[in-house]
Amino acid sequence: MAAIEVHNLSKTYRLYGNPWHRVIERLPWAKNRKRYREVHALADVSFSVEPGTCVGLVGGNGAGKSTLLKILTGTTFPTAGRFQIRGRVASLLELGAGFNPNFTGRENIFMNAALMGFSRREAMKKYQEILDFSELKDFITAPIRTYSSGMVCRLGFSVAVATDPDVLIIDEILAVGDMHFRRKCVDKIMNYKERGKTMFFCSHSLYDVRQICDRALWMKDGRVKLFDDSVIVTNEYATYENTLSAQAEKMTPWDGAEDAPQPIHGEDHARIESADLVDPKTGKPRNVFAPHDDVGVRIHVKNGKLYEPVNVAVALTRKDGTMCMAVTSQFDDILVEANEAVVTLVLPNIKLLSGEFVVPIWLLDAKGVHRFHELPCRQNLIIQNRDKELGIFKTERRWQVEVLEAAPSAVDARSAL
Amino acid sequence: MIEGPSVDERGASCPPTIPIPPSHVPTRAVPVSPNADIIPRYDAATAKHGFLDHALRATAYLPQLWRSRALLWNFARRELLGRFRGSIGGLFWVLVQPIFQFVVYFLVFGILFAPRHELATSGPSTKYALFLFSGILFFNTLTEAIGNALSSVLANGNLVKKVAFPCELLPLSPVLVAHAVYIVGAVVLVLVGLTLGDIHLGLASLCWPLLLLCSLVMATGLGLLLAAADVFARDVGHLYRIFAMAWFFLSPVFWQLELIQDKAVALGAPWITNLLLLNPAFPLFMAARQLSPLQDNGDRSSSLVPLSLGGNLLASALWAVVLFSIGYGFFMSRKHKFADLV
Repeated sequence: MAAIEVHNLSKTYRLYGNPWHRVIERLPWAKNRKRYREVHALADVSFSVEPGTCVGLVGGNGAGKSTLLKILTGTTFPTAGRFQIRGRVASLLELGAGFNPNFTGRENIFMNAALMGFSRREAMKKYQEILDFSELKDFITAPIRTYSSGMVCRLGFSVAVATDPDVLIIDEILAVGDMHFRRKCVDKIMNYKERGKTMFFCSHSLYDVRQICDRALWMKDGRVKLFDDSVIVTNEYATYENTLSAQAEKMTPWDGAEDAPQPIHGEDHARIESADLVDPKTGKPRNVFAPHDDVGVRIHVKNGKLYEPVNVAVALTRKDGTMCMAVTSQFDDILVEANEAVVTLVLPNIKLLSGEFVVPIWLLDAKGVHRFHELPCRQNLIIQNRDKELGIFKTERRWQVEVLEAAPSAVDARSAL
Repeated sequence: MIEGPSVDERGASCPPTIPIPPSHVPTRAVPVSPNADIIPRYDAATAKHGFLDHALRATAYLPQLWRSRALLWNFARRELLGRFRGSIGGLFWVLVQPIFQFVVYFLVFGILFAPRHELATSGPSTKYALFLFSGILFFNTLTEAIGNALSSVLANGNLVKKVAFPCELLPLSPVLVAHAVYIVGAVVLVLVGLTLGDIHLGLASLCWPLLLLCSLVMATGLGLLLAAADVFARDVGHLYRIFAMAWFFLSPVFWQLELIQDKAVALGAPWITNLLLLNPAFPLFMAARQLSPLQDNGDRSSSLVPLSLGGNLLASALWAVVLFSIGYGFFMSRKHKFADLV
C-alpha cells in the first residue's frame, strides 16, 4: 500500500487582469468571453510513494514544486485529479508560520502544537522534548521578537518534528540555522528515515537530495519529468541545468547545425569533413557513455590545394563553458600527412563525471599557431554516472586512517555519559 | 545536416537512459501511528463545493469545534491577550473601558444634553445614560465581533497558505473575544444600574446566556460570510464599515420604537416601522432591553416592543440559525480557494 498516491493531479490558476473580471464573469450574459489567463502550475502529475521512502523534489523555479507540496499538505486544492496520503501528515512549508512575535516561545509552542492538531495534554507532554531540541533554554520565556532569526527557525523546526508524523513534508528549510542546528535537523530527518517514515523533501541542494533521499522527483513546467532513483534524477537534472545555463550564456556557438563554421583560410587549406563520437570497440557512432568507458572521436580530414601537414586538436567543454580537456596531436608528435584521412582519438577509461560536453575540433598548422578550420562533433558527449561522486572528473581514491588515539571502548563511552 | 543531441519538444536534452539498477526501497515493516486513521485524501471530481452542501450541514461546525478546541482556545487567547501584550495595564483595560464609557455617556447625555425641565426637576438622570450605554455596549460588541471576524482570514493569510488547519475557526475567535469583553462591560452595566437603582433584575434575567448565545451565533455567521467574501473582494471590508454606521442608526440604540412609530404614522408611511423590524439585530436589542429593564418612570420607557421576551429570543435564535447557515455554507464552499487568494 503506497503511502502517498497521486493521480492525474492538475492545478490551474486563473489570473485576472482586473478584480472586476472575476465578478463580471459570474454574470450569465458575460460568460462567453474568457477574462483570465490560465497558469498551469501542475499538469497531470501522477506518482506513488512507498512507505518508508524519502523522496526528493527537484526542479527550477516555477516548476510546480511548491504547489505540489501545498496540495499534499492540504492548504490548497487541485483543480483536477486526486491524491491520498496514509497516516498523519506534518508539513514544514515554512518554519515558524503562525508564530506571533509578541508572545513568548512557550506560548508559541502551544499555539503551533494546536495548529498541528495536538490537544493541550499532548502538547504538554511534548513540551519538554521541543524545548530540549530547540536548545533555546531560558529564551523560551522571552517574546519571539527578541529572538534571532536562527532561533525562530530552530523553534519552528522543533515543534514540527515533535509531531512525529507518518508523512513529513519539508520545503526548502534545511538552509536555515547554524551548522550545528542544521546537522541536528538532518540527523532528525535521517532518524525518521530509519524508522521507516515517509518523507517528501524539496531542496535546491542536489547534494542533500542525493544524500538523504532514496528517490527523486524532477518537476518541469508542472509535469513530472523524471521519477527515479535519486542519484539518477539528480545527475540528469544537473546535466539539464548545466545545459540551461550554457544556453543562457550562449557558450555553445556550434550547436546550430546549419551555421557550421567554414574553413578560416578558404578552400585552399585543410578542412574537417565530419567529426563524430564513436565507440572505439565497434567503431559505431555513440555519444552516451559512463565513466571508465572508452570514448572515441573520429575526425574526417581533407587537405586543401596548398597541402600542409595538419595538427588535430580536440577539446571537451562542459555545457556551462568549463573546458575540461584540450589536446592536440602535436603534443604526442603526430601530424596528419595525407590528402584525406580519418583520424580517431581514443580516450580510454574516461574519467569525467555526469554532464554534457561539447567536443570542438580544430585543424591547426604543424606548429599549432594557425587555425585552418574548427568544427564541433555532431553529437555532444554525454556522460552518465550512477554513483554519488560529484564534480567534473572521477578520481582514484585511496584512504588512509592513522589512529593517533584509540576510540573509547563501549564501556568507557557509557560511563562518560 | 548535423544532428545534435536528442532534444525533446520542451527543449530539454533527454539522453537515452541507461538501464538502472532497482532502487533501494526499504522493505521493512512500517510502524503505523495511532493516528493512521487520519487519511487526507482529496478528489477534485467528487469534492463538494456547493453552497447548499455545506449550508444544510452547518451543524458540522460543532463537532469541528470540539475536535479543535485546543486550537480555538489558543486563537482566542492570542486574540485577547494580543491586544494588551506589552501594555502595563493588561486585562485591566477591559474593565476600565466600559466604566469610562459610562461616565462619558452620563456626562454628555445625562447632564449636557438632558432635557432642561427634567434636569431642573429631578436632577441629572442616569437612566438615559444607562439606556444608551447598554445599547452601545451591545452594538459595539456585535460590530466589533463581525468586523474583526471579517478580516480574520486575510489577516492570518500566512497561516492559511502554509498550514493545514480548520480555518473556519478563524472568524470565531474574534467573536468569542468580543463577547467575553461584552460580559465584563455588561457586569459593569448591571452593577452601576443596581447601585443607582435604575435597573431591576428579575427571573427573566436568567435568560441572558441565551441572548448571548444568539448574538454569538449570529455574529459568527455574519463573520464567516463576510470573511469569505473579503478574500475574494477586499472591498467587503470597506463596505462593511459604511454599513456598520448605518446599522448603528437602524438599530434601537438611540431610539425607541414608539418614537419611530409616531413619526412614521405622521409621515403617512407606517411601513417604515415594519422595515426596521426586519433588522436581524432588532430582536436581539429588544431582548437585551427586556432582560434588564430600566425602572419605568413614565416618559422614556421601552414598553412598546412588538414581541414578548420569549418571542424576541425566538426571533433572534431564528435569525442566528439562518445567518449562520448562510455564512457557514458560503465560507465552506469557498474555503478551498482561500490559500490561492489571500
